[in-house]
Amino acid sequence: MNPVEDQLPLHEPDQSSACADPQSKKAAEDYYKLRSLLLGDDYSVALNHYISKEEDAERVADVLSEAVTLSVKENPSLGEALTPVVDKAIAKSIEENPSRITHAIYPIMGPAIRKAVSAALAEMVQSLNTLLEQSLTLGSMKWRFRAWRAGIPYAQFVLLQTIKYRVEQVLLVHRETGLLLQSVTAPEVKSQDPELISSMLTAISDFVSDSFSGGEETLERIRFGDLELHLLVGPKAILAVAVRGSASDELTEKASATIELIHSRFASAFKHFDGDRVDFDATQPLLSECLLSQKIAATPKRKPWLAMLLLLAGAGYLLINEVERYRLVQVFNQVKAAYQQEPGYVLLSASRQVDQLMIEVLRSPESRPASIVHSTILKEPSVAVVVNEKIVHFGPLPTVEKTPARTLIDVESTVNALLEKDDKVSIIAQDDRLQVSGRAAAETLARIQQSELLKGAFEVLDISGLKVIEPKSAQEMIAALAGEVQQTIFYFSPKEYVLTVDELEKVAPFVRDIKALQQYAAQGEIKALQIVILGFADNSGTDFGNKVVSQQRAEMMRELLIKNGIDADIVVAWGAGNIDQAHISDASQRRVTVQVLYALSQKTNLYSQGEP
Amino acid sequence: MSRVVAKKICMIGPFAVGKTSLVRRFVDSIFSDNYLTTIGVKISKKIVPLADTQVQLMIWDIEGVDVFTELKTSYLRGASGVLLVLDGTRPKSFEMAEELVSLLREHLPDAPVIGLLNKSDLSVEWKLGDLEIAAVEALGVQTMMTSAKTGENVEQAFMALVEKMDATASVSAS
Repeated sequence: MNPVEDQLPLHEPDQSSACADPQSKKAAEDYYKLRSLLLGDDYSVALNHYISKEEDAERVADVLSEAVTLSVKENPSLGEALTPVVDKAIAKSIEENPSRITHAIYPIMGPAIRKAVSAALAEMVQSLNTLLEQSLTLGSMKWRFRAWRAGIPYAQFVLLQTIKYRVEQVLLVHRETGLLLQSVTAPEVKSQDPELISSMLTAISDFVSDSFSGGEETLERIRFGDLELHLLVGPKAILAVAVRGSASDELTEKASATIELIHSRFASAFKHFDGDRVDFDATQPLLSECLLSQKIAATPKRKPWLAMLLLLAGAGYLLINEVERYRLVQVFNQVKAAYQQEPGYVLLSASRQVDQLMIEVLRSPESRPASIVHSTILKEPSVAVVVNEKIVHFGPLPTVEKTPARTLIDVESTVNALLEKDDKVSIIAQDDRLQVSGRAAAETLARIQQSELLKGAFEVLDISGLKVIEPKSAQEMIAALAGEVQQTIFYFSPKEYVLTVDELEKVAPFVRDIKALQQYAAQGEIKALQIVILGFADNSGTDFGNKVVSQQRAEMMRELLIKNGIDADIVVAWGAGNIDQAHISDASQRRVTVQVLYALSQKTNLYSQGEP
Repeated sequence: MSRVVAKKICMIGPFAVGKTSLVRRFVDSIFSDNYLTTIGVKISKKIVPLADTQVQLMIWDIEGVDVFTELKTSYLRGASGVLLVLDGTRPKSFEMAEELVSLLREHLPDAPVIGLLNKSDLSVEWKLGDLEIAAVEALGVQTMMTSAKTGENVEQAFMALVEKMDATASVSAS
């Protein structure tokens, strides 16, 4: 623009306006004349157009939305034209104020992120669960072994065991170029680059087709290991389905239907395909439908009753065994303690065998026999206790200490055990003083004086009130002893040949009397001595049974005597069975009686006393 | 995200001219002196930008041809462009150029072809004169000197082909 124009107004000069300088007014008029001569009417049109621009804008603003709507309807290019503008606008907006767009999309993003996170978590839990299930069960151990034996990876083996077949990947490949149009992959399947696979697949297909059929036939199936590739070849595209396991007809039909559907629905997309896959995005749902799998029907789990029963029985056996053992230990301790505390006893050894207690004791002659001690302590006769007792005369008792012994011994029974048959004594035990008075044999007197037990229990032993009975003649004594022995009858429980506790009480004096007789025989007072033990049974059993049990009773008694120091040669045992005696009760019939046969030296006749 | 367009291109040429080396240099930026003969075809992938789109190149590296091995034309099917690779140190290799070009014209009449005169780093052994280059260009093939070893012109050659393909596509579309 030239400087003159810059200084001049663009509009026609206002005639009414006062123009101070007439010369300049003239110049302006000349300028307008020149301009109209040069530019003509175009100038005023252009000028008017320029002036009306604002009005135009208003007019366009009125119709803009209608125009856009109309434009979109008739020609979709407007969207394309606007895309870069919108892109730029959004970019600019984010650049200027990021929080505005954040706030705008927040309601969409929040739920979407939550959904994605929960889906990922669920998948993780599921796969962890599967992993645990497969790695910890007995079945999995078996599978691991079989997989190892078969020489294939465990994961593959599991898949083979649980799934008949499974489609791992589906590719839609453009037939002419070998370019990948679309692909879907089963979850948790690691796939290689599907684009390279599709190209390579086309190349292989071409190669096979060229090499073997001159390009007429197409490759339909490729198999390697347990993976099978099914190629469904259409005129425009190939559907490649990668299947692990053996595919069913269902899959083949589904794949054929899918490739046909894709051909018919995407005919125009195939026609205009130039490498842009956007047109084929819509095939994804169709391909996903081909991701079939068929699981092997799980066999219903059977309860392992047999194993459970076996385990239960084993556990029960162990429990019972343990309880029994515990009880045995308790009894053992109880018995052991009892023998340790029993006056006149020395516990030599105590050992626990499988189901019985072996106890070895020494005891003084005046102490209670083991069987009596035993019966007082053992309430449960179910535990077998074998007591091996040896009667010995102790020196000072090593185990019985003075102080505790006083409280422990049963004075009456201790003294009683020392008495002779005809002795009649009374005892007064007071603190640590024992007073024995009455009449007793000289031997009794000596025994009381010598008794370690009594000496241990009492500080003072007063026998001043004890008068000595003059000994009877040997003959009288023998007769009295024999009479006592023969009057002793042992009774038994039905079918038993073991003495009951009550009956055992009779044993000590019985043995003592026989011992005394034996003593007389040793002194030569008795020429011949024979102890005849007769066993009897009641009439309840068979004759044979009665014979046997009566014999057992007699034998038992003989053993008892021998064990207590009676010469085996002089004892004879005989089982009489049941000798039916209507006037005697059954209880009285189950018995053992003893006959003493002896011959006195002075006399020549055999003295015998009959059965009472 | 910008538009991604997939294109198939082929590397063809006599054996041992450096087709596979060129692809490796272009895709993986690696060169190795070891010669490994390609059997059949080896396919690689690379995405290159072109204007506002991304071009995904599926590069079919086809086995070299010689008197005993014919070019398997089925590999060419659907290719959008071809790189014809020749060895500048082996005059024999470009004697085959004419035959290969005529094959290309027959099977891919519309695909642009660029001739690559490879091994340009071996200047001492270089046998190709202007006369021979002119003979190749006379077949309607633009030529470029390349070296897979130094990387000279490799990127440019692929890009030139992509641009030519784009131009061809626009022409055929309009």
